[in-house]
Amino acid sequence: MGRYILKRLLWMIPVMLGIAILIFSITYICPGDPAASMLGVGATQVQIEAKREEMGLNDPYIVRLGNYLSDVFLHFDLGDSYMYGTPVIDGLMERMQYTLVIAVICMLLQIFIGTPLGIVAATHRNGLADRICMFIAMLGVSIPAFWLALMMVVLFSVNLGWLPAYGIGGLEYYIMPCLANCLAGVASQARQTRSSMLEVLRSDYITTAKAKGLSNRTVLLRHALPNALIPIITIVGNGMGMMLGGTVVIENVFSIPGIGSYMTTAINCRDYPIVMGGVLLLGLIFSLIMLLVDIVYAFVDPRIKAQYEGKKRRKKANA
Amino acid sequence: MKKIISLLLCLSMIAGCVCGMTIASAEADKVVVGITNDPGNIGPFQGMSAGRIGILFTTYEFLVTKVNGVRVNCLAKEITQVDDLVYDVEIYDYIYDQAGNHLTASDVVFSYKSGMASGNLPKLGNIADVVAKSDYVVEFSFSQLSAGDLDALLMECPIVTQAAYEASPDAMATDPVTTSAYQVVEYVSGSKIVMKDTGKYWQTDESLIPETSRHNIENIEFDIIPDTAQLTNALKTRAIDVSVWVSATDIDSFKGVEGFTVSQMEENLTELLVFNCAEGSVFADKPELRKAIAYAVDSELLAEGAYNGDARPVKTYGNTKYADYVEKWNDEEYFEYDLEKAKELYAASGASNLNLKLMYVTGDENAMMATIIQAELAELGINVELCGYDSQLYNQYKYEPDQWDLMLDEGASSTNLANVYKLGWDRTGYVHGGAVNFVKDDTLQSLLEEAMTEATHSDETMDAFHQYLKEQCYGIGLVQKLSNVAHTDTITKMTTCFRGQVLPGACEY
Repeated sequence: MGRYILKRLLWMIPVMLGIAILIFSITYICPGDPAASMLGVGATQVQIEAKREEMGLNDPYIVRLGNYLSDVFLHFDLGDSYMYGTPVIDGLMERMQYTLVIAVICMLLQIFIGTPLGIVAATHRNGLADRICMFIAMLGVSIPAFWLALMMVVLFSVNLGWLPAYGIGGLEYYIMPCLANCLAGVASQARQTRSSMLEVLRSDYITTAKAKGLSNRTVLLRHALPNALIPIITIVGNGMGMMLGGTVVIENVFSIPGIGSYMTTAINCRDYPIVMGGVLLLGLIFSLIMLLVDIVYAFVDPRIKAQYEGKKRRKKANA
Repeated sequence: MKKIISLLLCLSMIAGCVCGMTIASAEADKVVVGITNDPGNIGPFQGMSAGRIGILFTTYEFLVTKVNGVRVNCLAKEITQVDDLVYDVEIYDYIYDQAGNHLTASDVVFSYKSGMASGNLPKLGNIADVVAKSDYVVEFSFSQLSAGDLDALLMECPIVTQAAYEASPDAMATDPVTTSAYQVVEYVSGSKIVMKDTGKYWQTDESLIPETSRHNIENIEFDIIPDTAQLTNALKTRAIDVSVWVSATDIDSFKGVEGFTVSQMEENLTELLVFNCAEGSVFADKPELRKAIAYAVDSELLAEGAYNGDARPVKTYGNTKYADYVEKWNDEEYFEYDLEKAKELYAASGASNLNLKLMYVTGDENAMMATIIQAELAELGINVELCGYDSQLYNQYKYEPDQWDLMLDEGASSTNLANVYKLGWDRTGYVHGGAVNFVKDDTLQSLLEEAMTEATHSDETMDAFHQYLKEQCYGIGLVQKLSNVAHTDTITKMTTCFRGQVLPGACEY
């Protein structure tokens, strides 16, 4: 298992290199001029051109790519923001906390609301409870997060005055952003759980367990759910990755200074160091989450663990 | 398990709601200003940005400032001209920053040299040298000086003491120490900037405090709200007290509503229409065609249709707000809508079946203006393709003659009208060697130089340039905007700076 984890960690180096080259190339061919953004509307074309030269933006692609890769991978330096003049890594770390809070709360809501909904739907297949749960799930998948967010603001902030419309602060500031952001995840989770559970509930060993006289609760929680967990874990892992990078709309609507709003502003201003640094960081986190998901698989499903260990045994046997 | 989770969720919701009840309650000695962009770095020598502009005058002081279009001393006590390109600026001898450092001429020199070295303050490029002549006198030598440049240069660079700047671990990016009455006490990047009146502002003579430095309220908070719909909601819930960024479509929801006032302020922005006169372009050497289009565009309709009446037609390639605007232009004819005349000129130009690309920066008002122009030019039989781009792409394409035939541009200056002319028509500012529309007209250039040179800047030279530009019709002014600033009744008198931003310290409460 340790070798597997090490191998996966080493594989992340070429993955990150690939991401870096890709994102650098995209920003390179992307139209727009960071120098013009920095100098504002009062600058002449001559002044903008001089600034481009000073910033090294007129250097050939290969030179700029080489410099960037060397800074990132040899010196672990993501550079300074064009607009703010501050180190990108500081900006990302400062804002990561807010994005993480939202992502973690959303993920918990997704797991603790979506999974029970899916189980209820599966155990009451084609019944009233199933239809209600799937109707909620369908709504959740269909309603765009930004629309729900704005409707919630109109109701709970403007009309009722119960919750703050924007900003950061105590728990109350996170209620609407998290609810709006997690709805699609809850819905996906419920649908995936229902589907997995239905497949497992049709298995022979479940019939056997029931025939042995075990209670429904025991059958569900001890025998069915653990075997249905693999696809559920996959969707949780993917969801976490998506939440980290995908809170852009919610952060903008609710003025939460997270990674999403940081990167959106940077994209609008062609602040490429922030865009590239943000993508690299999210890529790294996503890769780590996927690794974690694979490790959790091994703990949940002994067959997968046996696969990892099997290779080691086979090698020993061959030796 | 489910019951426990449900209970927890309900409890958190109730807790949130109870906390939320207190959110809109305003503090008597605090004003909250909504801005849409994060300054990111509050340091003194950063480039101008939409976020920075909103907090600039509350955070920093400059040698001079502008009030109602007129230069007013701030840190400077007296400005003396030594010769054409050399000026002495004497500062007050009792200026102290928030850390108690005494500001002297060497600090002014330090600030300007740091600003020049940063490369972020392009206007400082005109300074050849800046030296301290004595403890309180700074000598500025300029490489060139157009009309209004002196004002622009003296209010371009925030002044800080060298001691405070060097003591700051992050070059004042988050904790600037300035001479302003307000000190930044909290900055949450991307969220808010909180400032507090230190109570020890250096200028104790009230009559000498310019509008931009007034401190009529103790606490100021700038809340960063990127989404304009949310900005409106924030104002409706009174979470903020004022914002200049409430969209034109939302402003009506505050008019006549109890507890809110909408103040109309003049902006220095002018909407302009520019004709591409690059060699081989459809407008090159065809003044009749340019004029045909100018007469076919109804500025009154643009003001009504695109700005809901919150704009007015202009009479030159700029607006009336500047001190060097020539009053007699108000009584002159300036491409007033005349479709018949436009048709005659169009026929005389010999053009037919034209397909033109109209480039503009995307946005509600610009898109509406472009659509109106498209409809108006259809009356002449001209097909207009609307090319709306985000400001980044627009700023790139405006220098590429193949990208547009007509361009909706925006003209603005913090100094004078001559500077608006200069930004558009001074060929020395463009790499391609032409003016904003790529035209290489020596007469235009020489008239511009006359109008913008300090020594020859006068009503006559301004008028000569204006008349020639009008005659050639390379570009025309369309409308000047009036911004509606919605605010709560906590503010009894609204005050904005010459850049159209709220001056919370100068408002009356």
